[in-house]
Amino acid sequence: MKVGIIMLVFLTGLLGGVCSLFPEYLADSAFSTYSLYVLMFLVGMSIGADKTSIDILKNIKLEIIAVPLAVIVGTLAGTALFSLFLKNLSLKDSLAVGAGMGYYSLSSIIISEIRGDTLGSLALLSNVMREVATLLFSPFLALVFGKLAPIASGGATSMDSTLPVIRKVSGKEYVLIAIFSGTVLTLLVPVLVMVILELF
Amino acid sequence: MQYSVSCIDKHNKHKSMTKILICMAVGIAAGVLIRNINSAKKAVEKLIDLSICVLLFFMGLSIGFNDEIISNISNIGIDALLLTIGGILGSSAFSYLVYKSFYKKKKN
Repeated sequence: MKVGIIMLVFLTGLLGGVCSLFPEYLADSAFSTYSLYVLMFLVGMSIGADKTSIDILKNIKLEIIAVPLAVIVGTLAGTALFSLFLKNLSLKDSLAVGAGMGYYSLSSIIISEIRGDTLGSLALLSNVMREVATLLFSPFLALVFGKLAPIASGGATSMDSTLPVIRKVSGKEYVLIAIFSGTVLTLLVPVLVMVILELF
Repeated sequence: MQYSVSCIDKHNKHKSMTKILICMAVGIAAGVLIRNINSAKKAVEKLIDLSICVLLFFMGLSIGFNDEIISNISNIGIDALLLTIGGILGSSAFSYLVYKSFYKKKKN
């Protein structure tokens, strides 16, 4: 879905809240909890109905599966390191935000529901920034860290919104790897975020 | 300067997380049943977009009503930015290891 539409809907709600255009009980209602259950059921359906998710399991070649694995390990390691500078956030909360891998809509909704709106809004900002930064800095990242870096930076978005930039910077021989890595991460983000919030 | 991440009651947390995972698991099973029905698959994608919009609207609303978040938005933004930089640099650095081990020689 287009970033513009998502942001417009979110900002409409935000302004509605700030200016008290809607009654406050709407924000506290259990409605959003049930909407999340429906959303997760639908996300499950799209995974089950997707034939490529089975292809992914058949396609376990080390050099290909190593890309999304490196993105997960690297993101969590980098996020953990930088969380040392943050006074207000625990390691667990920082890792949960990082585990969004740029999939800002779903990760921020889940984090909001489980840990509250403060961390949810932080997750939304952080994961939108990851997508924007990938669009802006991919050429620089590829120069320093090699041609897989734009794919790594894009995280779960490397299969759609950041794919054009990746194609341009890394070359078209990296497009399939980008789609593979983005798909694997998109499937794993909701589970990863919940496991991190649950385990610590 | 300081803001705190509100902690939701642990009991509730467990309950909603288990329910979310159950919803997803049931969804995957239901999805396998419709994998050859293209119109159903398209409908599912549309409904996902719709429910994401609904949820983000309510999330925006709930954040808008939350004075602590609104007055701390710049601190929250700075922390978000630092985590983003950490995630991008960390994942790029690890991707370099994979690039060096498997891709560099082959492609050049």
